[in-house]
Amino acid sequence: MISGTFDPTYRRPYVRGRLALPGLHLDDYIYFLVDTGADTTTIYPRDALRMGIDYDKLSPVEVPQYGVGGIEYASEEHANIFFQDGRSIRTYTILVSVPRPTEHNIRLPSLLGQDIIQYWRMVHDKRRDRLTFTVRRADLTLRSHQ
Amino acid sequence: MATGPSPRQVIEEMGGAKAVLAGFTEFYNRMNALDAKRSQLTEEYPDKWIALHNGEVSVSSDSLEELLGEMDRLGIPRKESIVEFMETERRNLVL
Repeated sequence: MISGTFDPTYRRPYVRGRLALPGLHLDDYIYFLVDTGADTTTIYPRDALRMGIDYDKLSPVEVPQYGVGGIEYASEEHANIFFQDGRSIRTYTILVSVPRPTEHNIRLPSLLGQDIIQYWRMVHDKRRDRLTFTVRRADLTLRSHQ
Repeated sequence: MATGPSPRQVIEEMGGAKAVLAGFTEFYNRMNALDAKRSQLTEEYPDKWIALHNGEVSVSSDSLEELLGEMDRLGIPRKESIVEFMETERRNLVL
């Protein structure tokens, strides 16, 4: 089971993952906001800049993403995302969205979207401080001894 | 749809499964260290970006880009730090 956490200020649901962008030779741990309304996992500038993403090295083709704040355009990048599930690592290979920095998105947390959440069963119980995810499917599962 | 190295290769390049799992724990501990001091740090660094390294604020700035540049200049490893904005006003998110 993957354990998540509610942040102490807003009590929003987060889960830890390790994001690898092999095409850019970058990787780091990220706290993802679990967003069941997001279709795609999105890496916002606070994490992208910290990881050292050079936006000029991303695909010049930017796809529109529609949100309540309007449309933003984002490059897509091949990614591996890893999650700790006890002594195992659950792995997903997806395309993540990487929008360029703006004054509106610079402080946003990165989002874990349905491209991964769809494969999990989630228990979201704020009152009991319980946020857990049971994995129904992963692209690859590695045990710690492997 | 995947291109490039396999996830298994990527994990090996990151030091193997054990190292990746240990990294999760270290990351969790770093975030907990920040949360434990969050109120105090928000008072000390209102509406600033901060970098927490080894439990202490190593750099602060109004700008994320400037903060990261200063971290690099001082040799503060990004991967061993937590970067956070210490906001004083509650912001409701509707994403």
